[in-house]
Amino acid sequence: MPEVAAARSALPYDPATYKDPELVAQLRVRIARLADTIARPVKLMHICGTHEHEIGRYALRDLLPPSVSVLAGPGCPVCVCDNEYINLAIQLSLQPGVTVASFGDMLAVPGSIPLEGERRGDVRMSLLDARARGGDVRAVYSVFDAKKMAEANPEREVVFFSAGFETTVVAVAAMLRRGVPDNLSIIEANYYTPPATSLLPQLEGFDIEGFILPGHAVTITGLRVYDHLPALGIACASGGFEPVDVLASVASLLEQIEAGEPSVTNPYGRLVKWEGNERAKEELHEVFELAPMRWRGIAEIPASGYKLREPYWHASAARRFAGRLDPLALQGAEHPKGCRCAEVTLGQIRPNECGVFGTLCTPDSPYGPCMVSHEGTCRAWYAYGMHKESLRVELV
Amino acid sequence: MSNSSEATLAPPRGRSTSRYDTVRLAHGSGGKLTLELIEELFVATFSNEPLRELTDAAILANPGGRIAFATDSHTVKPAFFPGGDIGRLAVAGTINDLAVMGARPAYLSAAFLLEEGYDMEELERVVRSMKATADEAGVAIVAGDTKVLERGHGDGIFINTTGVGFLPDHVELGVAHVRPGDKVLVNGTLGDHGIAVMSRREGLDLAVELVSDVAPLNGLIDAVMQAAPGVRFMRDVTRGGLAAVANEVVLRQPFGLRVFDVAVPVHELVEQYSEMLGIDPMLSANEGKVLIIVAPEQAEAALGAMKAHPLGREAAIIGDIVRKPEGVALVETAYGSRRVLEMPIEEQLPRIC
Amino acid sequence: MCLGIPHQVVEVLDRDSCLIRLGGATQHCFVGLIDELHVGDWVVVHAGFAIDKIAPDDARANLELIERYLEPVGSDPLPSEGEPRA
Repeated sequence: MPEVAAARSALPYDPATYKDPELVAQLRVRIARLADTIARPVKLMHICGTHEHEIGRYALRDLLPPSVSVLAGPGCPVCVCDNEYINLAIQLSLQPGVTVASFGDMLAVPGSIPLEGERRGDVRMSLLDARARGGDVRAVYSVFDAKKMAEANPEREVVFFSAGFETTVVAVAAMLRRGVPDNLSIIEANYYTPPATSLLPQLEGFDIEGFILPGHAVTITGLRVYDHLPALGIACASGGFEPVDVLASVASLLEQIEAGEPSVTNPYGRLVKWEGNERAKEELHEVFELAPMRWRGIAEIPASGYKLREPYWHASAARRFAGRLDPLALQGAEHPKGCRCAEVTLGQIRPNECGVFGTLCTPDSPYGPCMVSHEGTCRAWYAYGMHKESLRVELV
Repeated sequence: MSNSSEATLAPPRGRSTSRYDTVRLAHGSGGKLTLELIEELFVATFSNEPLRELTDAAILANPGGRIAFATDSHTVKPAFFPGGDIGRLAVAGTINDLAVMGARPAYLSAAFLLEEGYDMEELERVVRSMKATADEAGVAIVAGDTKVLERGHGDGIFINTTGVGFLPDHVELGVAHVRPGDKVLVNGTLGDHGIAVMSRREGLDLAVELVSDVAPLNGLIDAVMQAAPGVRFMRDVTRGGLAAVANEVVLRQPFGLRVFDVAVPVHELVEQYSEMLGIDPMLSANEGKVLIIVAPEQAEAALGAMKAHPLGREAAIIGDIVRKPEGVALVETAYGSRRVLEMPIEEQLPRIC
Repeated sequence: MCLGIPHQVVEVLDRDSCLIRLGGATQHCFVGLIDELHVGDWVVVHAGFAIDKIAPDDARANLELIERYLEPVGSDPLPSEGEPRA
């Protein structure tokens, strides 16, 4: 065992360990060796926007052998959030007396309500556009900030745009269980990923051999919810978010693939458990139940989203404001033509295979959701996706 | 500009030296209240000869040679933030624009757009802060203007400052002088201002104790120019952070700029808040930072001069100019991997993902 | 999918909340979903609440697992990339 690691393991936990360049270098060797043994191209997929972000930030794809690629799957809350919820948030923000509080992620995402009088062409309205047109839209760091906002402004209706996966929805559940002011409600736009991952292997041409599982979502749900994947021939490993974690997950997946024995391993075991956080799951399922949910551009998937249970319907914005909204506008128009975000999200095509990528659809004028979010696959490709060759440095 | 006659007079108030506790439309009407505001607040506080004359234009001495001329308008929410306020920001901003051209800032004008009802005591604090900042930089505020916008038609306070600086004959700075192999330096930790302001924004309940870096940099820049005449290019790092400046430098140029991730100084608190909120200190705003590109053999001299100055203690060499890739700003990580340092597009917001 | 950052608990306030250390300062954090929390524990925080804690035994086991994947640098030819650091 290397000395650095030996010294470190004397400490119970030190976050710096997982950023250690020495450990990264040693994991690279292992990955290169495994890739050599496998001796064919291997495609892996992560299903978490934060993985995409950290992989981009540390340029981790640069450290993998050319035969190993890591694609981004349906794990970016912005990319999978259906137009219905974005349109609902926009409409509510434009209602007198209503404040919409949202995570920053969702503010720039266009829904499907056309933006009138826009010179750039067929552009759809985002919450930022709604704000520019007088809507009351605030960015918050947590659902607790939205609650404080409701307490401080009893004369206003505060609507929290509850987007994201179980990591996020569980805090909403905990808050609702403990009681909230009457003027606070939520937009129920939380997604549950395992049913979508089960759908993937059924797609034509699906050739992903391993999943890096989303470390913080499975901290809540437990790894068990993915135990059906190895039977479908897919290797699985929990994924932490530091460079050492990501490379350890890749190494674990390659080991499984090399051995031809897909399973579910846990390289993020300092946080992730097989059964998850029992207490969190209890509170989550007391307040929410699984329901069919539309994934933007993909499909309606059974039991893939969280909706409030009946005792908590009073906190549902969709129910509370049903009479005050225009159902036609909620539905919106069709998704802009030419956008292939759904295929990108499912790993079927690469962003540059989409006809509008980089032309009609750029980060400063996004056409589809995958270009809006920093974690969106198209955005990440645009920002970080230059070929290795073009980033080869020559000094003089 | 809107104005109207005032029917009633507010009673004199405590802390404010004015008879009014808030700004009225008449303060911008050019009449008695305007004159009172100019004499009692602006002339009294900024206190210099050209301003005291109350002429239509300030008459100033000219040492000859080239002048640098810059203007900047300022709005910040909140107007008072940890470590500074809009007044200090407005003065330092224009001074820094002049100084990074190699000029010695000398004179400023200050134009105020105030919303009817703006707190008079707050205005006085802003004006005193402007004076203190100008004094710190050795610059005089010699001309001014005030307009009052009807309530609901402004956002409290906007300030425009315009500045004049004198450019020594030998100074020639610009991207055209930059060469591969040059070193890239900054005078300290990045992202402090952006996080300090974000920590005070509505809805973000952060118990952050970080202060903005807002400061006039002409003193520091002067010291660097003396120590390292081989400075090729300077720019103040403001909105859009390091990422914006790095991209501006390489735009359409036959060279690239490489930043070494681990060499970039970031305050521990900024780093941790940035991680928590999911934002990038390299894209976060600064108001007292300058990026300097210098010939490699003088990089250490420039660094030493910065470190000897109070506003440069945490200065660092953060990267270099490379021949290839051309026109690209890139980051090299602690692992030797590389990524493009993207030009920021929209304001950074806290994210969950 | 979800940002989460490890922080150390500096003070347990009540059943649902604690103060976490943040770069020399402290910050409130909701911890109502974690059993038995003590000062010095590490929790992973997502959007203002702790999703779980990192138990010392689990941390040790995690590191041991990762060490199994390590191989000494130089034992295998890696495609050489990049110049020596400046």
